[in-house]
Amino acid sequence: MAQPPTKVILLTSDNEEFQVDKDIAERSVLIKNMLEDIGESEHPIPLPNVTSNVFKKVLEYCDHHRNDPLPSTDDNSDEQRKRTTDINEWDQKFIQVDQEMLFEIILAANYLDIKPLLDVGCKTVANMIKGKTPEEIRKLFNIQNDFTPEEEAQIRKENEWAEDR
Amino acid sequence: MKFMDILSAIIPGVHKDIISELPLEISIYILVHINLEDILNCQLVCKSWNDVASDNLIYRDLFYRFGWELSDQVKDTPPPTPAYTPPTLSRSSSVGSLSRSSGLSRSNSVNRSAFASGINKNTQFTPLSITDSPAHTVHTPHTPHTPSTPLTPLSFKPTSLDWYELFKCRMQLERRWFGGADPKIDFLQGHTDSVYTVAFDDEKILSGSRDRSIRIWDMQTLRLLATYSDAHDGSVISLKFCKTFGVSAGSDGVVHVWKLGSGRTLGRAKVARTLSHHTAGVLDVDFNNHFIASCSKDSSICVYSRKSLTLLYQLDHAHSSPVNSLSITKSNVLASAGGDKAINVWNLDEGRLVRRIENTHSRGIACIDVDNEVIASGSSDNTIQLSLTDGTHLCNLVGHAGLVRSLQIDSARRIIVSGSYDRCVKVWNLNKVDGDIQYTNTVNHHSSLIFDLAFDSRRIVTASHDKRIMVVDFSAWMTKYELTKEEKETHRRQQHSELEKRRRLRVNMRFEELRQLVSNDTNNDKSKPSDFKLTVLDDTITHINNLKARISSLEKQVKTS
Repeated sequence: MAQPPTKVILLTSDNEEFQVDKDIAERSVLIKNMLEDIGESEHPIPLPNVTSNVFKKVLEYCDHHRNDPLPSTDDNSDEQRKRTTDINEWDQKFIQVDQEMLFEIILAANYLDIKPLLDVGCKTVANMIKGKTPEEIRKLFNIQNDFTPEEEAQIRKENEWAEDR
Repeated sequence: MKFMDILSAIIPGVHKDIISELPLEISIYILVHINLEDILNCQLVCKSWNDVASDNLIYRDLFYRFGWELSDQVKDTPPPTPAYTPPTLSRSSSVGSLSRSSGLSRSNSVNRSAFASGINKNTQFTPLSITDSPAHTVHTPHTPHTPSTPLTPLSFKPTSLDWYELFKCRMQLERRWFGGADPKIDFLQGHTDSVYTVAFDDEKILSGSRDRSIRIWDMQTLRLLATYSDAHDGSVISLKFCKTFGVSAGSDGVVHVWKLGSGRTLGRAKVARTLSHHTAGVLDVDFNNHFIASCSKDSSICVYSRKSLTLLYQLDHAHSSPVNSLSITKSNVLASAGGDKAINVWNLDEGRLVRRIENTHSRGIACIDVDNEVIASGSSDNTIQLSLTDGTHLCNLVGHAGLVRSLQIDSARRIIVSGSYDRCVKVWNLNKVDGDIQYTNTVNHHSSLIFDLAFDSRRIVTASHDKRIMVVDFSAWMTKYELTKEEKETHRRQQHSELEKRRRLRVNMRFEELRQLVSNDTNNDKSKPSDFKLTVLDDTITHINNLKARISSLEKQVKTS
């Protein structure tokens, strides 16, 4: 008989309590370290930087990836050398959210220390930027061009060395 | 992400300037996923994007992504001037962005003025021809960078190098390889017969000849330092070295292991051990950290332990012909090739043949080099073939008009240099992989056959039948922006972990904060959690009261109706 999974209580910034299977919660290295540090506790673990609607989304990710091997903590892995912006299908669907939510997910993943989710978020933003002109990027993120024409020309001039590769 | 585009187009409220609003290290982490062209476009979006996209760390990342390595002379140590102030990670402060925007200066992670003044004192670094760069005028007058917000305890060990400048220089240098500017050509004369083999580093060049001698030349002055005549009882056919460890192979059938001099003893060399297990001339020799391997006319390959210099095993009949060439990778893979047109891939840990690659060349193979699973081979069919160690054929490089006698591949830089009996040295750009790869640069200053070559980030050195050694220097009149070899490794390890470290520091901080929160909770067991429960309870009670009031008013309404 399989034992029922241990539950962890997490409290988001808007005071919503989440009862989460321990293995799901531990996809967050922050929470994992907390649990190791304080041991079994009845008290909810506060997550003062995460709101409930973002946390729900994060939990959805952690739930889907609960059985993934934990990413190596080895900083020197050559993986990053072969950096790609490939995102698997499920993750792609998962991350199809508005920019505000994407922003919040990246912040939460960073805060909770969920490296794979942080990667998905960052790659998604990278993919949004790829191949776009400055004007297209401004449009996409609703950014005002605050350069004077002189400043813009200056940057273009500074970057002349990179042209015609 | 087309979906996002559409979404943002139709819903106005959905825009969010993610790059400007995220913490700097995450924004940088996003941008290290895009290529140079995209990064340059990001710089033009707005001021805050320019700050992120021109960050020093981004250019450091690009530098390594282009497959470049730092070598000799430049060290990435914390800037020597105490005037240096680490950057703040926070950029919410308007003061910081104002001071930056006024000068459009690059690089958040390096204080350039502090950097430059530090460098002037540092004799190991020669700044790049400052004169020609319009970019520099932007930085002057340079107001000292003052932290606009109190430094967080997160300040990380800074990198002292200006990676933007390094990247720019290296890009210029790389273009010269592909015909951007004529290299400086020098010839070393002294051998009295064909030069069969050369090897070099930043300090010295070693050459071996049919005249049976090995000569050592000063790389800086290009002067002959020493001649070891009769190094072999026959032609010196192949030699390799790394720092003070060297090996040479001769037609006398032996491999000498050399102890070489360095620094003040530059030019010194003595035979530390002679390995003689072949029964005919040794045609090639190579080594890595663990193994030394030699191949011979006797169609065998001998594999020695680099540490004990003892024979581990001899692969008899490795080929059905003389084994002309071999190459070892860092991961103990050996590739050998011979007149039998076959390429054999060996696992040196197990001494086992992993794969035999045939049918790539139509005639015998003269030279082979393997780097990171990519095998390049040159043949008397005048072509170079590229394969993977798993046997996959990648492409062929056609262009030489004679036997391809020597080649070297750098798979990270995506470059091959080959030397042929047609007297030409060709530089092949593997970035242009659409269709047939065309060579992009030819250097033809030898008056006869080319027997051997070696190259690094800025030089090609070749050995020829015309008794001369040619030094092709693409970096002439440029700078020295390289690192000592000891630093190289640390660098490699540091390069990608920096962002991760910064991220981790923050995580640890948060962890501490959280732990305090929790311990407060457990300490004040009565107060805090129950306070919280009370407020919730209060809310619920008010809510219930409200409901009650509503119900009674509804009841009244029902009654009256």
